[in-house]
Amino acid sequence: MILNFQKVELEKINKNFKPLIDFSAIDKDSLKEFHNSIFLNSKNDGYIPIVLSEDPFQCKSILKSLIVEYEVNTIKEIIEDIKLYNDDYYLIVKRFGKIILNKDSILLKDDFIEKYHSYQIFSLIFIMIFFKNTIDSKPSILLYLLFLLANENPKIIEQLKDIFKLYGFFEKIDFIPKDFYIYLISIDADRSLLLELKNLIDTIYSLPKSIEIIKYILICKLNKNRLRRLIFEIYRLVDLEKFDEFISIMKQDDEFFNDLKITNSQKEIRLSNIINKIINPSFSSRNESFNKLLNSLKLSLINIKPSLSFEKNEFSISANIKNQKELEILKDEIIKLAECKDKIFDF
Amino acid sequence: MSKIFSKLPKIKNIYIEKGNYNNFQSNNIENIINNILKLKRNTNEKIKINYLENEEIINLTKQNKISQEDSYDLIIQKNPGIYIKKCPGTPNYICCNYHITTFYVNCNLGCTYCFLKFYLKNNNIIIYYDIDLFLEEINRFDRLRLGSGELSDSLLYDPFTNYSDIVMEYLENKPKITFEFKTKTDYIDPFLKRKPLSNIVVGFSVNPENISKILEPLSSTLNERLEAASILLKNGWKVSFHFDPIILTLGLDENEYLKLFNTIIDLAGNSIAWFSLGTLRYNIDMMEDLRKSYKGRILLKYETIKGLDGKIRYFIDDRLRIYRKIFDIYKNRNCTFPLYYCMESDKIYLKTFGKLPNKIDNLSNIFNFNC
Repeated sequence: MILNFQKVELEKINKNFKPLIDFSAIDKDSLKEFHNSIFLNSKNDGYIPIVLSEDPFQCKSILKSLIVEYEVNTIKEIIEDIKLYNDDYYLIVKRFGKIILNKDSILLKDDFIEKYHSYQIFSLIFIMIFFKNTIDSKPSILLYLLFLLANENPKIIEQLKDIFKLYGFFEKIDFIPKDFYIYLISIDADRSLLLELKNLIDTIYSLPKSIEIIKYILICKLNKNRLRRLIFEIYRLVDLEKFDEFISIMKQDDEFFNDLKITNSQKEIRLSNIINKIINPSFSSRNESFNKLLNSLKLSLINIKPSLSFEKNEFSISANIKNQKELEILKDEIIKLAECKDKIFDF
Repeated sequence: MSKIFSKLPKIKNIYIEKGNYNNFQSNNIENIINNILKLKRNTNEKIKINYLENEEIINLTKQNKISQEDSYDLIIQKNPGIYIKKCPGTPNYICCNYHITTFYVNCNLGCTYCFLKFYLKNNNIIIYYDIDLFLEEINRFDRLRLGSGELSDSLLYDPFTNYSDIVMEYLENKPKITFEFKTKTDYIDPFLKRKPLSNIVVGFSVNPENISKILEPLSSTLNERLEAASILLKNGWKVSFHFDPIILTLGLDENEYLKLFNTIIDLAGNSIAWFSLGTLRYNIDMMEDLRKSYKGRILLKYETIKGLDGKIRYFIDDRLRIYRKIFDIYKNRNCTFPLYYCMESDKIYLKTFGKLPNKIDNLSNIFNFNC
């Protein structure tokens, strides 16, 4: 993306805004007239207002104005970087960080935000929004920043919704409760996981009762890896046209899932069992029969495992013994096992 | 000429790799161009021919976008690797030790389940012009079973190249080298022009009509392929069949495979050179792409597991169910032609044949365990 700042200045400036010629034109009072704007303050060229829109964010209490000082050459470099590395949000953050981390170059209203860091990220978000093409092609960059922001200052999550909406991450934003953002932050959801989640939500949004899934994720407090697997499983439910069935089975278990005395991991196990039975009915039933057989053998020392998904005609057997007595028990168990070899190899 | 060629996308550009061609290669390139221009004479296709350096050709083949669905670029280049390779198989599953060779890369038939479009990411077709090197390589082998249907259809671009003629002419006096042309077309003209060869097999990859018409839209119809097989048999040629991939999906009757299996036995009986079976399997990354289309989603409507090779497959009980049904027909109809599974586990063999392929009489030769 190549951006011509002069052009922006001439074409995009809102006539209601006074063009800022130099620093002396700005004082705290006059900033009030420039809601929701970013001003790039070039030492050489004067202030260049970047008008985001008439009133795009509806987050009046949060953002008034932001002025970022920059060197023309630095901006050019950044633009080059965006063009070359727009896949790498770290780099973009780092490069913008060079500007924004310079505290003196940012004019803050006292009540603007509680934490400087949040403000910093917010500034980044606005600049990212300014580079809209980059965001369109790599929405995860902005998404990532939003979560950084939320992490810093959960109180402003409500306002994030407007930004999400505006840039189409979660067009169906009402779908997502505030706690869900907190949860995502708490599990340190990475960029790719957030994108996977966004894609999933876009996919299932039209399904009746799809919001329920968010509820169950929150109840079970799935960790990052389990959430990733759950996303895969939900896609499978949708592939198999079984999503409704899943939700109604889960609803039957609402009492269990809402019981605060039951641990998250117990809930997670129940969730997994329910999903497995729906998306892998044959495998689940084979697994159950195999476990029934093992239980009927009452083996105390020997562990038997089938091959992955029962794919091969082999089983792995392991045992731990601590003394001679257990060795004798093991012998008996091996005999017992050999007696039902046909049943085992039926699996 | 088969009707299939009128359904295919048009050629937009032909790119030829510059190089120090030998006589065979320069004649070959000339023949390919002449054949294409002759075949396209009565169409409104305007084909541009360009000669490019090796680096430019490499860039073209690395493109990861499809510029136009209804047209493609044809790249005539040297094979950057070797011609004859052992089928890579897949870890933990039994491979039939087939050897593969590549004359063409990519395919325009656009079958929904095909892995090529997911890996190649473009619709350029590559033709290797230096198949004289293939002929040289084949001399290293005394005995071999190989085919050219791995990275493309063996016969779809044959009207451009006449490679089947070149291969057959060369293998005429090498009876221990068995070559299979595997296809979803009914293009059999090259075989009807000559006397049948005992070491040449035309392999038809088929699916029941209800699946084929949805998921193999540009291929020859099932009836056309069966008709072509029948003509070849009548003319003394060997034919093979492949149910691969067998597709199980909601709403489609899997018994159609049994009907088709019976039909093929009626048609060819024990003169079938070999018959392979394999159920749908794909890389997990393909799922996201499959979800993007209605046809792709059809493939996802069935229980699957992650196999021992990391690929997505149907659960073994479901695979066994369809294999057993087919095997029962095979047994009940006293078939003696070689029937085997492509990339299946030992369990599948043991639970159908009761033994592993190296102990199955008519497979030990096919699997060529000493090779």
